Amino acid sequence: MRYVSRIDIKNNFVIKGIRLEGLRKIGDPLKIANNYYKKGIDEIFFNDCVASLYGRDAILKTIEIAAKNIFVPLTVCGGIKSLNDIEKSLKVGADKVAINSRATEKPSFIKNASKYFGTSTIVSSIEAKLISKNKWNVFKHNGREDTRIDLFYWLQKVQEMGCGEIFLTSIDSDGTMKGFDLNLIGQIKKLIKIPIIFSGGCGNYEHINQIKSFKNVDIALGSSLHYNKINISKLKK
Amino acid sequence: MKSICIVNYGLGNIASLYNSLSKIGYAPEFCSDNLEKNYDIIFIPGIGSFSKGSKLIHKKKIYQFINRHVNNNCFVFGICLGMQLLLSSGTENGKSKGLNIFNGNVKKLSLRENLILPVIGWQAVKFKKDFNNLKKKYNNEKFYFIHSYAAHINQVKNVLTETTYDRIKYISALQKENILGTQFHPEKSGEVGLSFLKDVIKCA
Repeated sequence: MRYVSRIDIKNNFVIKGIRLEGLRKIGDPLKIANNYYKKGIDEIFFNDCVASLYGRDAILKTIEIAAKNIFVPLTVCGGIKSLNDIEKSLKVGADKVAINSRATEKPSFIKNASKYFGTSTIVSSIEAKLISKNKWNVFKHNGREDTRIDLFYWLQKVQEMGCGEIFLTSIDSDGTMKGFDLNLIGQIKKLIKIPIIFSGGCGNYEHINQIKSFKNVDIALGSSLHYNKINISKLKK
Repeated sequence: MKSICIVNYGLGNIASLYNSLSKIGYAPEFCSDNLEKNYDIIFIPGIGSFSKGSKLIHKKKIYQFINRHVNNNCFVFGICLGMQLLLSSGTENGKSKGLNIFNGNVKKLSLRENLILPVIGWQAVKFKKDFNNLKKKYNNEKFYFIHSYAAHINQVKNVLTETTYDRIKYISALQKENILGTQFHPEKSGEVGLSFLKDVIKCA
């Protein structure tokens, strides 16, 4: 299983909310990323929470410095709207880029990006929220806006468009540290033919064990690392 | 200090490779800056499709640059797509030519229906032979992989390591003489990866 550190960034600070709201400041992105790298994290996912609304150049500086000292894959997410944005991210040292909002507006963007940069460079980031029994919708702008796209439909669509990987956030579980949404992962697992990173809800080691019963599901860790509920070195033993 | 060049033929994240080589104390250059210069070691990186890589690497000046270094017995290190391009041919997006340094071709890892591809993540490498004492230190170590296609070669003696992903065994590193190719990304494999790069360069 791959353990991915999810680092949400707003205005040069690592922040963390609950269900993507009520953001609390955690600290300096570079210090935090370096610390997780030293402890042996498998990958780092930098998510600029406000980029899709306000532009995204700040996070590129962070990536550029991070890439000089951190030698595991770095994914950048937030505000990627064009092939040029992707190019810029790769140039400063990102290995993969994740696309959410722009793809919900124009799904062919994933197709073009995968064709141009290779499928393994393009991650489809998806924010899902339960809206009625067993029905999830896809949200954009870091959980601010309901696109009214059905999650099951969307999971198939982004794979058809050729992304190499899916990063799925359960908005309902994000930051709660009450466990992954096992109902959600159970329902979608059979629809996925590419690697998936499941994000939202991890608070202790037992939660990680619960995910292990699903084959080929990797996980993202946010609050559980920031609040020292999980020790990376222990995980990797 | 050994001189190192990254062949920036237009594909792949060359920033990570540049950063990792700088981190371990070298001063890598890019071949686009001076195609006439000769180096001790050249790196062929790459992420993307074989067909696109094939087209770019066969551009006259790049091809001549690589060929000259191969013929001069300098050390050549291909990573990921850069390793795959060392083979005779590939089938990704139609058949295309490789550099033909290793006799063999690059095919989809497996056509098995329920296989999750691309392979993304950390996998162990099993050495099938030794090369510059790498076996002792790195046998069964985990490195970072990201790929859907894999090398199939005819000469078993050129297989350096194998890796098993979801019950499928494939070649994860190739070597003959001064030529090494890894399907994995040492530049993205944490401290183990940096140490691997250091050891390879030291003996190159």
